[in-house]
Amino acid sequence: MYKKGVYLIKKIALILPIFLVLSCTIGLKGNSSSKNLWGYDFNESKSEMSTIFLDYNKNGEKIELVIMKNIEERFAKEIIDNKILLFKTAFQSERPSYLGKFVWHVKCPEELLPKYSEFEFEEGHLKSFFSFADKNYVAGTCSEEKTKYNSIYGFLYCSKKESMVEIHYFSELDMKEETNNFLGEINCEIY
Amino acid sequence: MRMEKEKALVLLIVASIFLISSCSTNPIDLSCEDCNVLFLNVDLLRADYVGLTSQERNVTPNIDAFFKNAIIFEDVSAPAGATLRSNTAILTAMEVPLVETSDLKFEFGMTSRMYPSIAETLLENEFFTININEGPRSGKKARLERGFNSYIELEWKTLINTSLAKLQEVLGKVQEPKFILYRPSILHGGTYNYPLDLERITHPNLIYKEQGRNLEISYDIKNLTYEEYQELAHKVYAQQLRYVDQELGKFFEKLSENFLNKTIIVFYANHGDGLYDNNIQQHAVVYQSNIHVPLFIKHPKITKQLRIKKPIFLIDLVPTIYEMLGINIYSPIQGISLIPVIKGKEYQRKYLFGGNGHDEYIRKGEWKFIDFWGRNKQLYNLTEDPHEKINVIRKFPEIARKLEAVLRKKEIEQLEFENQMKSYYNDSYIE
Repeated sequence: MYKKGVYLIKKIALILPIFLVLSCTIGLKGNSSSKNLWGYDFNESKSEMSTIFLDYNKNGEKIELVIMKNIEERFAKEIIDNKILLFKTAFQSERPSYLGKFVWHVKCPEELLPKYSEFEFEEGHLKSFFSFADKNYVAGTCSEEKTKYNSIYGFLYCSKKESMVEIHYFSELDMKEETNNFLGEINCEIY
Repeated sequence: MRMEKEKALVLLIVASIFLISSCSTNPIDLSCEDCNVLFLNVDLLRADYVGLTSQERNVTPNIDAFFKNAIIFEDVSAPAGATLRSNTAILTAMEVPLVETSDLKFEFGMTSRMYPSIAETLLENEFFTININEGPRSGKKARLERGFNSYIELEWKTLINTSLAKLQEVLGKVQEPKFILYRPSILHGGTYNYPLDLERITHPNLIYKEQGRNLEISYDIKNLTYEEYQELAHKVYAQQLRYVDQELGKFFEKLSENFLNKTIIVFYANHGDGLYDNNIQQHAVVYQSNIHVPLFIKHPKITKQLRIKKPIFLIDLVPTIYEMLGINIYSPIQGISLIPVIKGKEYQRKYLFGGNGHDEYIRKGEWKFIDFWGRNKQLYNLTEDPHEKINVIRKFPEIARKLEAVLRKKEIEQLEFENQMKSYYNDSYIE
């Protein structure tokens, strides 16, 4: 009887770690998978709030997409307009009216100033900035020596699918063509 | 023998059940129905400068002594680092909007008239309400003068001995129950206003300029390294706070036992100050230097110090006071009472969040996610890094994503809520 008990405990001790490792691996895999979008093989991770994060980091290009589903167009418009305005404001040289407010504007030489563009699709629209990013992938750097990547920061809204996509794209400085190609690939063929 | 053993066992079980049940019913009584309420809101006071919440410095002995046996919230987050937003959110117990909508052009004060402030609610409940304020920023400009029987606007950065004398004067004059909101701005930097006759530190880069009976303090950062002028900014702030603490000490001494026995005294700051930490000179950002603030509640029925370590949100202060006073509210409110937390129960709020228009933060436990302009996302572990020196977003992307997803969801929820409120407001409000 005693021997049987010891045998059982030994078995459990052997099987338990294997079971735990396996279940953890399956659990993690269940949370992230691969997704092809706009010609890129993204790594996809879903959050509990029906927000999808897509990542791509290969061959000198780094892309991060945040996709939010089921957003009414009027609310998406508010959010997008607000974020676009905020990004623009950072490069305007107006002083804030409130003395306590930290002065956030960045003095930017003309050639490094973010360039804004809007593009209308049949099913949605894209609002984006082309700028340069620093080594920490912060878009809109205004210092020549800190410039490390080309950058696209923008928002896509697809009205049929009621989806909003926040786009962060970075590429090596000599990859202008690839950057333009990425912009050209953006469309509403998502989920 | 066996019977006796069984009897003893039954007795033991009964005693255990009694002990467990008596432990679970918390004896803390926080009801204070006929009490006065005094809000001491020291604008720009950082929690890491107050002895009761931080061992880092020793500049507030009088505040520490007065609130020694109060409810001490160790980890309080303000909803914003800017005055107008934070004050409006705190006094109306409403969240700050994360997205500035285009039709009700944000000045939170403009939209906040839809929500009653604590002064309006207490006025309705027959309190006599008084506000002693400095400058229009947190008063008329934010439309926060509403609900006060008496709104006293002193000059911006009035010396604290002068504004405290005014407070002392009104305390003795008005009927009870009373609600007093006192809000000095003497810690506001740029230039400090300081008494002429008080001891002061010297430094080659410190400039003292006489302005009548006061001194104006500023500093010249030329020829100083970043670390040097950061250190100087901290030193001057500490000097200013010592002066504030000294004068508050004198004020506390004058409060009568009678007043203390029937008054809830709340000490807090609506936001902190950068002092060049995280490259922030002043405030209106969401770093801890700006949003980690003190909150102490001195309650007539609390005679021993009660420490709350859980991270809590400052917009929950006003509903807590309502519950203490036994006041029911019928308007929408997003703050929740902290009384269950004070009694050792669960905090119903899962996330703390806020922002200043150009930035947003969300916090869960020790993790804090920040989004600046949408172009700079940061993640900090506040247990390991309370001053947010190391951005660990690349190390823990999954945590950042979970928090960001909640923040984005919150943006939508707020827009939906505001939309509902606007239609209600448009239907019911006649200009």
